[in-house]
Amino acid sequence: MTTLHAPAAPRAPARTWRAPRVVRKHTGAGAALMGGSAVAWVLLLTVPSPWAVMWLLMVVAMMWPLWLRPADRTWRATFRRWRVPAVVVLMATTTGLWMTTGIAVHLVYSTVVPQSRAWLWTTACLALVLAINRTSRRRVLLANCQRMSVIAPRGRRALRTAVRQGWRGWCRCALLCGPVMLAMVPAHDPVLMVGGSFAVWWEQNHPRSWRDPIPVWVLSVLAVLSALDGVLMGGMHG
Amino acid sequence: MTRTRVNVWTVSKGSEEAAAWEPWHPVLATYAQVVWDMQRLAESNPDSWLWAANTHGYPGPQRNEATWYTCKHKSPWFLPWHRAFLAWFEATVRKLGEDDGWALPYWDYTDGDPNHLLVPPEFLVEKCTIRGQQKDNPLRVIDRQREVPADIVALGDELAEYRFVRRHKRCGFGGSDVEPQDGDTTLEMQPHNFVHGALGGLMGHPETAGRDPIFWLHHANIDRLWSVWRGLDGSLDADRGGLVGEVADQWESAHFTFGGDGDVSVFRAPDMIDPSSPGLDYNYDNLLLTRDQHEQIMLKRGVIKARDDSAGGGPMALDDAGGGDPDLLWQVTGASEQGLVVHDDGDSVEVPLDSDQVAALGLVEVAAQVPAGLIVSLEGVTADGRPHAFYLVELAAGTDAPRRRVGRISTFGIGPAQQTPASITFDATDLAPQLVDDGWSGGPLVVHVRPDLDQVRGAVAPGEAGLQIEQVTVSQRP
Repeated sequence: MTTLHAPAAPRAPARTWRAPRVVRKHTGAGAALMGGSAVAWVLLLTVPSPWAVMWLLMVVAMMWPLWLRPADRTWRATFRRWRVPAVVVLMATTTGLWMTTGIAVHLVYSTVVPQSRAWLWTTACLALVLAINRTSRRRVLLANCQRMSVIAPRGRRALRTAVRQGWRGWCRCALLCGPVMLAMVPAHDPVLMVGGSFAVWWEQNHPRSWRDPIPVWVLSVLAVLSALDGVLMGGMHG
Repeated sequence: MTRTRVNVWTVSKGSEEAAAWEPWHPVLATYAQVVWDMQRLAESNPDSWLWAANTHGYPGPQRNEATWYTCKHKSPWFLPWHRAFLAWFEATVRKLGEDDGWALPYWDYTDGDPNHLLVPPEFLVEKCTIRGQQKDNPLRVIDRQREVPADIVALGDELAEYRFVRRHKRCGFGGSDVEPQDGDTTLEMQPHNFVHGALGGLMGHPETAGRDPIFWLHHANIDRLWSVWRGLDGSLDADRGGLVGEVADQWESAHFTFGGDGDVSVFRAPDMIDPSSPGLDYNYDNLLLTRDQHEQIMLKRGVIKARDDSAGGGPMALDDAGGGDPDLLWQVTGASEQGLVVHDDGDSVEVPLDSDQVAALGLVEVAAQVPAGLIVSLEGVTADGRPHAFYLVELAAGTDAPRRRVGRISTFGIGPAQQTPASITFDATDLAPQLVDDGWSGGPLVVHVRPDLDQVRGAVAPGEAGLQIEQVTVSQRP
C-alpha cells in the first residue's frame, strides 16, 4: 500500500494537544460490568445462598457481560457527570426486570411442578430453545439484538432514555435468551449455568451466525444431560 | 472461471427506439429472459423473482422464511451483505439462463456523462423479444423515474474517507460500529440511498426495491465503487485494519445465508472483501475514476487524514493498520432538549453546548478559536408515513445567523417498517470557520431540517409527520 502524504495542512487545533494512541476496548462501565460478573460467578459457584440471591447472582454473572455494548454506548453518549447515573439506571432496569420475571416464574414453577419433575422443566425449556432456534422471528431478534435507541446525554432525559433502552433491550433479551434462563429456575446447576452462559454469549458475539451450530450443540448436550439426569438419577441435581 | 461485470452502457442499445426494435446484447437479453422466467415461478421457489426480492425485503407483516428480509442497512455489514446477495442472485441467473459466463452488468451513473444518468433504455421500453417472441418487457417498471439528478450521484466525501468502519458517532466508508447509523461519509448514503430515493417507485423502499430489475445493476455499481475505493492509496479496507470495536471482533465469523432450506448458500464476510476470491470469482471492466474525481478525492482524503493525525498524537502512515483510533477522542458536547418534526416547511431546534463537557474536553478556548472537529448527529430518525425522498440539514450560529448547509439525507430505509429509528451523522468541521465568522462563540447552535425542494415530488400527506428526529447532538474533539 502506498503512504499518502497529506497535501493540505489541517486547521490548527484549538490548543496544543497530544493524545496517546488509544487501544482500549471498553469504557469504565464495561470494566465495572465485567468485574461484577466475575465476582457473581465466584459467589455463585462457591457460596450457597437462598434462591432469590442465587437468581440475582446468576443474572449478574450471565447477563451483565451481554450488556457490555449498551453500557459502553450509554457511557459514551452521555456527559461525564451523567455517565454513572445513566449506566446504573440502565443496568438496574434490566437486572430488575430479570429479577421480577425470575421470581414470578419461580412462584408458578414451585406451585405446579413437583420437585421430582424439575428435570422435565429444564429439559422442556432447553428443547424449546432448540425448537425455535432457526425461526424467522428469532433471526430478526438476533439481528436487532445490538441495536440502540437514542440516549440523551444529560438530565432526567438521560435517565428516562436509559430506562427505555434497558426495557427494549431486556424485551429482546427475554425473547432470545429467556428460555435458557428459565431452564435454571428449578436450581442453579453449575454445568447448566456455564453451558447456557457460553451459548448465549457465543450467539450474541456472532449475531450474523443465526445458523451457527455451536450454541445448538451446547444446548443439545445440556438438554440431553438434563434428561439423563432425570431418567437415570431421578433428577438429583434438580 | 472469472467473469467480468461490464458497464451496462457498453452493452445497451443506447436509445429507446433501438431498444424497442433491435436485438439486445446477450448480457441484457439473458437477463430479461431469466427475469421473465423468475417472475413466473411461485414465490415459495428459491429461484423465483419474489424470493430474490423478498430476501432483501418485503412489504407487510413478518413472514416465516428465515432468509427473507435479511438486508443490512445503516450497518457496517451493508457492503459485504449486498456483495454476497448479488453473487447469490447472479448464480441463480446463470443457472436458469444456462449461461455459465454471465455476469451482472452495472449501471455507472457517476462517470460524468449526463446521458448515463438516464435509466438504460432496455429498462424503459414496453416490449422486448424473449425466445423469439415479443413480450411485455420484464425489466420495465412503470412508476420509476427515468433518470437520477447529477448532483446526488457526484462522488466525493464517501470515497475520500479512508477507514472502512469508524466508531460512533463518526462513520467510515462502510459505516459505523453502532447500528442503525449512517452518515455523509458512507457509500451507503451517497450514492446508494440517493439513487434509490431519486428513482422512487419500487426502488424507493427497502421492502420493494429488489422487485425492480434496475436494483441489481444499481447495486452492482455500488459494489464496483467499493472496489474502486479499495484501490485508492491509503484505503484501510476491512482486511487492512479498517475495522473497529465489535465489528472487528465479529468480522471473521460473520456469514450471510441465502436461498431455501434445500439449497442454502452461505457466504463468509472475510471472503467478501476481494471479488476475485474463490466463491465470488468476478471482476469489473473498469475501476478508474476521472482525473478530476481522483484529484478532489485524494485532496480531501489528505485533509481528513491530517485531522486524524492531529488528534491521534502525530502523523501516522495510512498503511499503519495497527495505528491508534482517533475516533475515541470525540465527545458529545451538546444536545437538543427537544426533537424535530419536519413537515413541508421544515423545522429548527437549538442545540446548547454543555460548558462542563466542553471544559472537560479541553476546549475552553472554543470561544476564541475554530474547533478542531465538529459532528452533528440526527438521532432517532423515523417517520410515521411516507416522508419526502430527501431532506437538507443546515446549521446556524444562532437563530438569526445565516444557515449553512451541512448535508443532505435520503429517507431510503426510514419509515414505519424500520424497527429501530436510525442516527445520521454529518462531519461539519469544514463549516466551523464560517460559523465563527457568523458570530458563533461556543453558544447554542441551531439545526434546521427541511425537505430538499429540488427533489420534492408532491407534499407529504396532511396529518403525516414527514420526518421525526428525537434528538440532535453535537460532538467535538480536542
